Amino acid sequence: METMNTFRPHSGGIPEKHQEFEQEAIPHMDILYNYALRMTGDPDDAHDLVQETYLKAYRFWDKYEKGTNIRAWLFRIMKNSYINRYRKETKEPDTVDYEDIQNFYNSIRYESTDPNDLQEKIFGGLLEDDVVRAIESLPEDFRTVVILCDIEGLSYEEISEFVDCPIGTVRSRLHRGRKMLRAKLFDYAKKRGYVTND
Amino acid sequence: MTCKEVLELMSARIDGELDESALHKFTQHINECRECRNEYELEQLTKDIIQQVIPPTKAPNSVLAAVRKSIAEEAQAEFPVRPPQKVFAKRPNRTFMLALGLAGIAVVLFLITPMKSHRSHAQPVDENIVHQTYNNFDKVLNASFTPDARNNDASMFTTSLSKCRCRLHMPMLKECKFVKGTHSTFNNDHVAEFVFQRNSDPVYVYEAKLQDVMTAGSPRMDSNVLQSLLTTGWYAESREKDCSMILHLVDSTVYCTVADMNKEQLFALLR
Repeated sequence: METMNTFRPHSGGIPEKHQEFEQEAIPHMDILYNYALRMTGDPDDAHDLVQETYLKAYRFWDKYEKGTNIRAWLFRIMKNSYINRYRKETKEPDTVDYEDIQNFYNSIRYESTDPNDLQEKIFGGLLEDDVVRAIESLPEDFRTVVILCDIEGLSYEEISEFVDCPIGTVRSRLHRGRKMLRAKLFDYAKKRGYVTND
Repeated sequence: MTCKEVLELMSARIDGELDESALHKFTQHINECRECRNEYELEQLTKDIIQQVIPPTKAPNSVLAAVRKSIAEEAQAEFPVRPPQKVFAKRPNRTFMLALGLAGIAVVLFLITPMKSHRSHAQPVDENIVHQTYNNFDKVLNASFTPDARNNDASMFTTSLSKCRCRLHMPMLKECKFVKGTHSTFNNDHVAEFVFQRNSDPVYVYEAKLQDVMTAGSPRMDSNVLQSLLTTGWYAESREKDCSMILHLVDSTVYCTVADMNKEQLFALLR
């Protein structure tokens, strides 16, 4: 079995790049896919976007600085791909009636102390489709932070690195994003007849 | 804290991003200010409903497969791989061939055995069909010995695989009859081993996840084998005409097939 020694692995070259890539980049696929899916609203587009992102990441693997946040690096690549391929004209925030839900909340708040009950009263039986549609209707900057924070569970620091904005901006976009979103959801719930505030 | 400041920190409060002193002032304010408290509760409800209604999804396997495929194509473009057959273009002498044949089996062992056993001449005497194959190589080649695996009931075998959730499954080979199979773990990674029979020739298949093979602490597979596998999906080795080993990749599973037939015959069973 001495011949086995002639079969020792030689180091360097492509298998190592593969191995590193497989170990470090591939495990983040779920989170990238989720983001792609929520941004594009279409599984096929999400598929293409993830594939493109990983291919670019593989091509530029030597540009990735070891030990830095790989997820943020992958996200940045994905964001650029997204902008190039899918971004339509920047939408202005829809005009939403913030008063409506605020008034309604004031009227029901003290009848119930259970948050589940409150949620039920305000948003009724909204389905995944409604929530997805509401998120998709958000202007991109707001949609991005809401997806990253509420669906992906990223920290503010990670989000700030990803969107390349200070943490203060992330914070205020989240607040405004959720505010627009809840007005939208309330609107849907009313239209579906889940809630009545007459 | 003023109402304006509280609104600015609202999302940070909800996402657990406030430090202790800010949290204290924030709480103090919303306890006293009904309007801010309502705003806070509404934002919390909004976050809750998003999280309840939209669970994070897993990327479908087709995405993973597509990513691996495009990376393999990319790697192939960067480093074209010489077809493994070239190794045998010149007819080497018999002794070298024998050595190469054994080394071929050694590649299998690299895949599945801990480093220490690589160095020993004889493989452990156990139920591992690859060890058994190796220890009885000549007998295996003349078909006088069939390595013994634990179970010859295919359905029981697949059930036991699914029970241990090892993500492996029984491969299907053309024109082959399932004889026996066993499942074991090496360094906590799952490995499945099978004996098939084609006419009277035994065919040994051994299966592991690519991830497990690649993330092992020690290099378990020769790098040129791994390179060929990742770029073309195939790796083949032959011992003259009577013994071949083929590694191939299906999605993220590595199959290693050893049989006493030539490469073309073996390829035909796998394609």
